[in-house]
Amino acid sequence: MKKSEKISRKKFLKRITGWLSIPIAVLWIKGVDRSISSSSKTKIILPSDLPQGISFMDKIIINKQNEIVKVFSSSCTHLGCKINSTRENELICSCHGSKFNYEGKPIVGPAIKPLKQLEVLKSIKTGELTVYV
Amino acid sequence: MSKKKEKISPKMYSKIFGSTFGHIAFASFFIALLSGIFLSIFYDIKEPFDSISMMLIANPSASFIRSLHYWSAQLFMILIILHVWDHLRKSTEMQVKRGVWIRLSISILTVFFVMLTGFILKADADSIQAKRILETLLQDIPLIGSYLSFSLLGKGEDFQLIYVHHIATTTIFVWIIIVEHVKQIWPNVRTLLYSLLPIILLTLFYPSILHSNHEPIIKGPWYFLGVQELFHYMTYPEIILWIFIFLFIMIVLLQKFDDNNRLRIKIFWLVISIIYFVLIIIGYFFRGENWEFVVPWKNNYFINSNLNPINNSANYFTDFNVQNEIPKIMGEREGCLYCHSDMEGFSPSHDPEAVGCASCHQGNTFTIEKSLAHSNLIKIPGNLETANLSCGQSGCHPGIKERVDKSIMNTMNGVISVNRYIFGETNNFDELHYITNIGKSAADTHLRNLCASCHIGNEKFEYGPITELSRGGGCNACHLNYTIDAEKDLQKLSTSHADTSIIKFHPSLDLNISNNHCFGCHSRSGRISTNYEGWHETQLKEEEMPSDSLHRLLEDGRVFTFVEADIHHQRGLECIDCHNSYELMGDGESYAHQEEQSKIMCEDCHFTHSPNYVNNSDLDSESKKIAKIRGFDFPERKYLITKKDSIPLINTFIEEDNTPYLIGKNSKKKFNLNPPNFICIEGKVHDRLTCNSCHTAWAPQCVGCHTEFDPNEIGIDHLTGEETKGSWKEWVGEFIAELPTLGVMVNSLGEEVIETFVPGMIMTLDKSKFNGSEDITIFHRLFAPTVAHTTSTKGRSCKSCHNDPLAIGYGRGELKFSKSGKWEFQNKYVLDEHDQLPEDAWIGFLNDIQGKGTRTGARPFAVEEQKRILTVGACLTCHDESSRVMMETLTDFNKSLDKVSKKCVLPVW
Repeated sequence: MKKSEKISRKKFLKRITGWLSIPIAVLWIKGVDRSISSSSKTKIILPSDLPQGISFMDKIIINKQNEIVKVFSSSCTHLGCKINSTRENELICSCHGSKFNYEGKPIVGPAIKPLKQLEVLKSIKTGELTVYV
Repeated sequence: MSKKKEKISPKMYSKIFGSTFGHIAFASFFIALLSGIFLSIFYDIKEPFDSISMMLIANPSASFIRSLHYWSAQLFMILIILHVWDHLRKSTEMQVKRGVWIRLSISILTVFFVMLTGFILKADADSIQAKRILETLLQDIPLIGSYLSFSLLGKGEDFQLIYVHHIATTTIFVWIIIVEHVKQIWPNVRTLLYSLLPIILLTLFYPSILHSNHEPIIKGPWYFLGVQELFHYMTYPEIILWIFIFLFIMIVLLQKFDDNNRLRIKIFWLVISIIYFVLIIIGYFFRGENWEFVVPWKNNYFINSNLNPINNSANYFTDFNVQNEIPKIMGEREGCLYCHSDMEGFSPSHDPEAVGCASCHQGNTFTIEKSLAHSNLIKIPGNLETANLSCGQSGCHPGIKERVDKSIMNTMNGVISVNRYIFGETNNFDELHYITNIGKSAADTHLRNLCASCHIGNEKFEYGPITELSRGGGCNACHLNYTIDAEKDLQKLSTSHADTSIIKFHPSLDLNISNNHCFGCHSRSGRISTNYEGWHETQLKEEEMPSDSLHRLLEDGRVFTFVEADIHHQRGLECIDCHNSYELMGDGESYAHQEEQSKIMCEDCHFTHSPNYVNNSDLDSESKKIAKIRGFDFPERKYLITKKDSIPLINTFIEEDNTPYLIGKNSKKKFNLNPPNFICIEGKVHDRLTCNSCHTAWAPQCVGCHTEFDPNEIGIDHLTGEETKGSWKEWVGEFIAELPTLGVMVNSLGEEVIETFVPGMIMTLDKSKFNGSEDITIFHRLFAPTVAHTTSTKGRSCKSCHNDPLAIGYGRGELKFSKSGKWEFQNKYVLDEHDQLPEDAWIGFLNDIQGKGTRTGARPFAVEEQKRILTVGACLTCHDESSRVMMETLTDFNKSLDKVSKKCVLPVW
């Protein structure tokens, strides 16, 4: 009969910890996945008397030109800062100075991706405009 | 791998008062830990920003503990960095086991994380943006990014998880590492006391401030400003993340390298650190709103920072007795309203219950201690210098300050260019300038002495309403209004040693823009404000003024006489009824001359075609906002728009039958907008004439001007307000109110039109006495286009143009048509020695000797045009202007010439 191999207590604990890290990681990933998927999007109802031009509202930027309403996420595509200022027909990110036109297209870096355009849903009954962000 | 080196004695480390950097860092950590425990008593995770605000406003002890926590944490981090450097310098990395070294390396990251979470827990605008950036960066890590982000920062704008990590996870980890490293659970009492001293001093003299959420400048914590600066240049910020991870791994694996490579890595880190430190300096001092470059003394962030000595008076020892609730404005506590709660007189849009005090006045809202609250106070908001911190904030009137900056009322482009042309300093009328940037040349000094105060950016220094003597004031120039009560309060203030608490009536900032707002500047130069009301300047002195209703004394001592008011004034229209926001505040473009910036034209309101309009639902946001405030915002309304740039005229409406009308913006009176008379639109012979050319009743004109520099005169530099030794002076020969001269210019739509002109300037300019100038006298015969604002319902007569030498440009005198068909002109004013034209002429009689216009393309009538005008004039010598014959000429003049009778005498040239 082969003599059983002896391992030190320290080594034993290290191995146990190593093995335990796998189920812990699985639990962590599963748990976070569940939490993220259960976080619902925020519903924003646009005001009925939207002015022409740019309006800032919570997490969105609204651009109304005549009857066309476009809604963008106010999150800068560079590093996620909230954009809430406009100057000389440009939307400006106050964190790093990226500038976008009113169509959400980047015109001055560092951002190079356009702002995320959100789908505007119109209620057939009330004509109410809604976006989810 | 190199051999282990000889153990280094603690004596060899850098020390302060006998303690190593590491020991002081441990002591600072301990102070931060203890102060953090106490701070948590006052900190409310549900309303973090509000709870910190209340500590600052009403709880000096809590505020002290917060500052103690802040400074101990900063000192801890700085000393940890110094301690690490001390270790690396002595190459002690080889003296620790590998596992310990990895844990120590990770603990450095943890220190930065605990610092950053502390910054985020302030929950102000800086913090929330920092959290968003950190989230985005973490999510960029492949595979585990989103899990890390969610697990470290939580979801949305909830701070609970960050709080737990700040006070527990990371703090405990750092403490365990410290204990393992130092082999002590507590710091030495002596080191603790030594460390406490600088922390308390910093706490006392540099209390930790809180940025308002309405602060336009967003910056991270000072130690991450280098990263923020790098991000400004980096399209792919994840590169920074990977570079950082690479540098970190180099440190973790440092023990694996040989002596030479370890040294190289350390030198590399040192260089990186020095560069990073420079980037922090740039980020802190040289970056302003929207991360734009700005010099430190104009950087509003620095003004409101922890390190500005102005902010460095603590209120820890004030015995507060806060009896009432501190009001919340736009979600933030505003200490100002604790004392100034019962102020009256505001326009609805500026009601302090809606916008507070600090939106306009800045100051410190997180205190109720007067001297602290009033630090960095903008006493008179609205001046362009500080407009970005007050009226022009992104949450209030964004973009307007930049428009006004570029507007002609601020730049004075036309004035500067024409003035420099006259002084022989440029040949271009269309240069773009900025009045505050002009130099000290003869031309620019002339403006500084005589004209430079009339720009809207001229700072208003003193309280009080806009008067005839006011110049500039930024937004105040148009929007500031004092009620009688507010004026009485102002008088009280002047006698009560500036005790502002006695003030109950605040002036209003509103849209009630009266003619008086324009009057100060516009009663000068073209004098359109006085013209509009019918007043013409005389050369009478105050004591010579007859005491009758036909004379008026202005506050500046000038005496005016009544001629005839503009028909719009007679009917009750004010300046603001025609002029709109895009003209008065600019439209964001730079223009060389005033008429280029103007949008409104007579034909925008007086037309025969179907109206050009915009529906209420299609109004731009600015017009919509103004229409709403003025009570003109009705969903079914249609508004006229200007021919130039389609600007909505929000006080003009169209009835269902297409009849347009106008409502006075202030008076709310209704005015019909009548179409032009048939004579204005009959035929095509007068197509080029502007409405102005016929309907201007009179225009102020001067003859025989002279400008000279007097080296002994004490003058004023109106840009700096300083006295100057030597000043430019002007003399005028005569002021005359008469029909203007006509000429040709290219309008802002690019069309060549007949417009009204006045002498501007026919003058001699003596530069001989100006510093260093050559002995030179310049003569100019320049006519300037004018819109005199003296409109009359009845246009000028046909003869007043076709038979009048002043109208054609010959100057005053007698213009006769002889029976032999010869036109003859006898001038009234003598011929000028410089060009042999009469003193008041623009052009020689039927010859090519001519002066110039003050605009590119502006000119007097060419000889052929003069002949055509005078041919009609010949007919008018016999035929009445309303006769059938003359009416027929309006349709086709050449056809009428074919029908002339034998009695008719046509001009012979």
